[in-house]
Amino acid sequence: MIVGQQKKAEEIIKMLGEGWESLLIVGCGTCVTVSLAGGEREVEALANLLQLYYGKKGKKVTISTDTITRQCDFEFIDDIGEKIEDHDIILSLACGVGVQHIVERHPQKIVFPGLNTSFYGATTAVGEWVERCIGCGECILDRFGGVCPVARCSKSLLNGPCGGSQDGKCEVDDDIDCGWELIFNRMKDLDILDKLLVFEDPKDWQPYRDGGPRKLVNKEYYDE
Amino acid sequence: MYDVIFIGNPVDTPSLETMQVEPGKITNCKGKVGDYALRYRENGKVKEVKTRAIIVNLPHQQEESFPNLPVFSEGLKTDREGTLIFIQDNEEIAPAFVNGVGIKKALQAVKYNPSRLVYYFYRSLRFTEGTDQLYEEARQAGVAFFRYEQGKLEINPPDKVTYTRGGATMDVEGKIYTAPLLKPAPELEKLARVLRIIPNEDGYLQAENVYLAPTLTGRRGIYAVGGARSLNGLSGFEEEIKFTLEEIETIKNNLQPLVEDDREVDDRKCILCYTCFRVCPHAALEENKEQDAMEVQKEACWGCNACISHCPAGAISIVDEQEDEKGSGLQVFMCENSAATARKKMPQEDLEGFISREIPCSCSIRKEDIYASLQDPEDRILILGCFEESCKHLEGDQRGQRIVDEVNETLASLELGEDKVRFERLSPPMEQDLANLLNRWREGQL
Ligand code: SF4
Ligand code: SF4
Ligand code: SF4
Ligand code: SF4
Repeated sequence: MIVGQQKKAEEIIKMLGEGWESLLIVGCGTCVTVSLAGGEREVEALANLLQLYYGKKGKKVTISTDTITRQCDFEFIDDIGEKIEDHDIILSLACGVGVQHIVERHPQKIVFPGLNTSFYGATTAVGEWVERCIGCGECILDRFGGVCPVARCSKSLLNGPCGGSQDGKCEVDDDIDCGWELIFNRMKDLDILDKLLVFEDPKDWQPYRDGGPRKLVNKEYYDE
Repeated sequence: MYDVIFIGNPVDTPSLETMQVEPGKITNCKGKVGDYALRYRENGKVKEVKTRAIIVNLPHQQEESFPNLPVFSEGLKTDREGTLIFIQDNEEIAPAFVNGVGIKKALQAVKYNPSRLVYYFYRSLRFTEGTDQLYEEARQAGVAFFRYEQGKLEINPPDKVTYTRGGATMDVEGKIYTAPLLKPAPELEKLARVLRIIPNEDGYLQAENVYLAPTLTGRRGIYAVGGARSLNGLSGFEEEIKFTLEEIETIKNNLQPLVEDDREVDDRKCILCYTCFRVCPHAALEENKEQDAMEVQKEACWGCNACISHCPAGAISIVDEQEDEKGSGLQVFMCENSAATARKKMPQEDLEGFISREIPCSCSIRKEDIYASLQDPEDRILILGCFEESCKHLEGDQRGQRIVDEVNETLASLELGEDKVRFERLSPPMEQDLANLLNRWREGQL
């Protein structure tokens, strides 16, 4: 799922600036609820905090809240369409996809992001997530024992480690496991190390971001 | 339905239906006290059995604390002549149980042969029931006890020890026995995860906590005995088994919930994020596959409300709960297991001017409620939780502390006051401290 982190209140307040009277904070009930950054509870907490802040500053504002199932689908946005139109500013606590989807539906509205969209992650403990995939557009996990060299090696090396790994840790940061050590160990355990002897051609980065913003069509459902 | 399943070694219990499963075979444990479904693998097949309760009974792993010297818990059977040297606490302070075994062996040795010399070196003696008597007896029988400081005992295998105290040194020679180092059985790590039990620092199944005596774990209906429990797990095995079996009789014949209120998950709001499942210190939540939502299992719930305060979707609530009015002014939230008990013994006039509220655990506070209760410039909030090892909900005080820390960091960053919200710890007999604390807080002197 998408892991996000709420922006610091200071930054949000600076972003909101002056010259508005009503604010709608919109939470997203899927990824960022699970990643504890933008669900109903976070929305309420932020609203109460901002109320406290503007109250102390003597600024009269109305702060409303709503949390919809997914901000990346218009149907859910449309459910609160009138409410969005009725407020001066919209603060979205979804990932960047959600923020922009509201923008597309409400071109006249100012919509701000309340989160930093961090990465696609897996939950490792309550309150802890780790990156496992960067969405490169062409999955190669089959050739690397199920451990991704693109996402888990700091340099995305495809033909073996860089030589800087120490005690299983990456030279970029001791907190990071060396992706190549993980690949090697897993393939050794599975007795498929010989697969690594095949030279990996330079990766085609077109299907990733380098080919420009991506679009996907499922022909069974959609005919361009 | 079995009454109890033993994971590890079974214990004879004529009145209960029992079964035994090897620890390494357990794959999954669902359900709750009175109705567990335990899955294990046998001959390549997965089997599921139902049981009312589970007892984990595994021995400690023993290791030599000094390479190539025998450990006293196993040795001494044959040698009845010559000087004996016992060394306890060589690497780490031995648990009370080992201490008891050591003194007993030393006493036996002088009893067999009163003319031999027996030295007993230790860094710390722990006197539990029975060992103090044993110690007296051993001294009178002639065992020479010497306390040493770390680094002040030089051990030269196979048979020489140099003891330094103050400016004096003493060399003794004889057969050396050391205390064993105890480690948890290797299966416990996985068992803790599968059984959803919060282990202690050393990896045993019973967290350090005053509410978990003698064999309770944080999950109701699962008991840890012997070397599965903790380093103290072998001091009173008989009584512990007796207690545990009585508990299981009660589960069988008269299982009652621990708390009155029901906690309910709104299946339209729950998104199965599993946060509640992960934060519940008592493993009381389970996914209801038919409803596609979490469910609080009433008999397993201890009522801390960690699930309610941590659910990101606001899906859990107490059935028929009265909404608390939003407080203002000086507000004190007291955990019912510590400060609220102390309050009852405190002169009521000391409470005047405060709005106080009893909460089931300090982890039940929510940051959104804190912000909502600070809207007036005079508003201040004091949250009183328990000390770490006496938090009934094991990690509740730490969660409470973290919530307050985060709130304070945010408030400070916006210059909304650094002293508006405080977290303090108390225990039930501290009524005087509570009165002082409240006074100091009222005066803004905390
Ligand atoms: S808007 Fe973003 S956070 Fe929300 S459901 Fe869609 S992808 Fe997930
Ligand atoms: S140390 Fe390992 S993970 Fe880090 S850049 Fe080198 S190969 Fe990649
Ligand atoms: S924390 Fe809330 S949303 Fe998440 S699984 Fe539990 S009840 Fe459902
Ligand atoms: S109230 Fe506490 S014990 Fe009960 S289900 Fe919730 S977290 Fe678990």
